[in-house]
Amino acid sequence: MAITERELQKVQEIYLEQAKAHFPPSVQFEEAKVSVTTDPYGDEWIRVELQYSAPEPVLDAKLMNSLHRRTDEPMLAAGITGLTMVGYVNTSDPTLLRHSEEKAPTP
Amino acid sequence: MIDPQELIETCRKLLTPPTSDADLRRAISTAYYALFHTLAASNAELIAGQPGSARSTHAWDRSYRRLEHGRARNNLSANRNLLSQEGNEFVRIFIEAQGHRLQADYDTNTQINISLAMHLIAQADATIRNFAQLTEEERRFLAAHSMFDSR
Repeated sequence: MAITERELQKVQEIYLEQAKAHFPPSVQFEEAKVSVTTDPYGDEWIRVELQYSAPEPVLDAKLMNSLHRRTDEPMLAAGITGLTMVGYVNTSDPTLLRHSEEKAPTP
Repeated sequence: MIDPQELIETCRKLLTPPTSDADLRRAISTAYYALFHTLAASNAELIAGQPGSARSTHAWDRSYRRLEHGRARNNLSANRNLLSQEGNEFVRIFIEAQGHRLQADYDTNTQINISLAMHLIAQADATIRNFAQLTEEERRFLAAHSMFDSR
């Protein structure tokens, strides 16, 4: 079943709100970028990219892995049960936002 | 045997600068496979025991290779509410990592940045370490649902 624009907005709200509550205040969540992607087998996924700024380049894995404990209930309450994948991006350091890095020229 | 921790180390090597787009894609894919092989090895051990003789090695190998991505995802997803928080967490990260892996391996338009890859690897690493803490009963549950469809 196709995911509606309204559902995507709800997902965005849920993840941003719950991420802010779940992580310590030193982690500033700025945006939850939400999109739909279809895998090679035809299954739709909701992709949530949580963008934050914080001194640490990588967030605490235990906290990242337990975020669903906060998001599952509101997602279910909103009737959103599709496949979801969450990713984290630290926007504080521009070098971490690169998609690739220039290889040094071979002498 | 494939060691999931070695796969995680491979992910980290791939993220050592300078990184290419291919490095980032392989790192994400490999992080998922570290989780996949964690589950496959657990399933095989629970069904066939540790491989030793030719017969037990054959049984272990056959059980190991029974794990299939789509079946595992669908069946575990449908039953994850019957698991402990820790078991549920494994399933959740396994499924999410599978989604990221499918994007990294097949979606030529997706742009993966270094930060995203670093976080996914950290999540996979922590999930694999926590998997060892699950009870045998829970690992049996994961094996039953990840390997077999209901009739």
